[in-house]
Amino acid sequence: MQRKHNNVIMLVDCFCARIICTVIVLLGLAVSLQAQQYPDWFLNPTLIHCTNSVTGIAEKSFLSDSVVNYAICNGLRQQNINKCAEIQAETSYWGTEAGKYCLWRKYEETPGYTIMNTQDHQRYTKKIYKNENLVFVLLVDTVCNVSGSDDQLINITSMSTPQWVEHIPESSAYWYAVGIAPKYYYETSSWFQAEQEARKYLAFSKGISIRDLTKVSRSGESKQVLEVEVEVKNIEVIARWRSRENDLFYCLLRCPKQ
Amino acid sequence: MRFFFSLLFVALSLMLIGCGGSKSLQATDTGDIPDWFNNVPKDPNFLYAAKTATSQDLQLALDKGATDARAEIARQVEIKVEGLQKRFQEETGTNTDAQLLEQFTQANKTVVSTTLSGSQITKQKQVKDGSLWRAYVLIEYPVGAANQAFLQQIKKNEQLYTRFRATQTFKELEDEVKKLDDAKKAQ
Repeated sequence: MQRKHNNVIMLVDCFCARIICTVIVLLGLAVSLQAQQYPDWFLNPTLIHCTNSVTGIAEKSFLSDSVVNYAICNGLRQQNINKCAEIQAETSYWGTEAGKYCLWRKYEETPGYTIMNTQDHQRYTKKIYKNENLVFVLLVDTVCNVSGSDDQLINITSMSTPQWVEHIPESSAYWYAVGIAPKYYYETSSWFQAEQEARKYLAFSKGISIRDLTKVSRSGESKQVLEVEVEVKNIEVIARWRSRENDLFYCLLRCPKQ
Repeated sequence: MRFFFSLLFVALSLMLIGCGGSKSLQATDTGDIPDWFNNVPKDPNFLYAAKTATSQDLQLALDKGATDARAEIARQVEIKVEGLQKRFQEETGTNTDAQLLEQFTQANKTVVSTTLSGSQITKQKQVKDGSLWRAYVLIEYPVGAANQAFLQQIKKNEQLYTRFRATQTFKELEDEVKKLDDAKKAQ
């Protein structure tokens, strides 16, 4: 009798455990699905037809007001760099038969503060969206008319990779560049790095000095030095993308050639 | 008997694992190379270079590939300028004028090391290659920009410019640069 009673208890326990596991799995799935959703105005900022709109992001935390403020600060900081930045970069490589090695890398961005002060705009927070990891903020100019309707959310798993990720757009009026970053612990770091890499490639397009010395000998060694010192202005964020396939973050930027 | 079957099972498992391994390796080798890397575009108005590089760091792989491609373009520009130099010598008969030749070579070197502005990554792809990242990069550089930069270098040197501007090569070069300027104005 006692044995039968124990068996029933074990069955009930097992059933409960299964239900708990299923609930945990479903919750995890829901959370991961939410994390894969991004507002369309973040992935495609050109959809907002306002010249001075800013999108900012910050890592989610318990202090929701602070996070929103932090996202606004991040957005404005990125926009200031995009408005005008002096970029200095220096990289040297040593090529051997066994492979190519980086001897040193230097990259510096200095925001054009004078431009920032003179082109200040009155902006207000138009939209805020939170997914599992991030808080997204959209700031627009007071003169800009953006409809306050619900955000269209883009689920990155359900959409195919945009063409610009591999085939970078070309135009006679603009330089285009795609920056890529791997997944870091903080998702914001990945997005910021992708944008910075794109800015770097825009600077490389604008003006790059390359010195290439190849020794014609048995070892076939070579040394390459890259130097960049240019000012880039009026950079626009055209699109962003996150690939679930290889967990990479992409950012497409452009700046006028003239 | 049981021992025999166990041995057979282990042997079959090993064979199956072996088969699976070679299949995935073949797929990796052939499937990830982009078409534009094997068939580099050809356009008389542009210089192209496609390169690949690996690194544990994704950015470094991309940068290495882009640097290699830009170095390749710099070499192509050098060859183009050398061709111009040869034509210039033939036209003016300055093969023996060591001073002029030195000035010309100097202009050429300056062009190669300073005027790769306008080079742009037009296609890129990155794939996982074992524990490394492999980046494929295609860089494009407009020929008109190279001509313009070379012409500016020549104009800086009065003696060279005086000798050079009377030649047919110079006129052709100027026409090409004018085309580039007109195209820019038309935008």
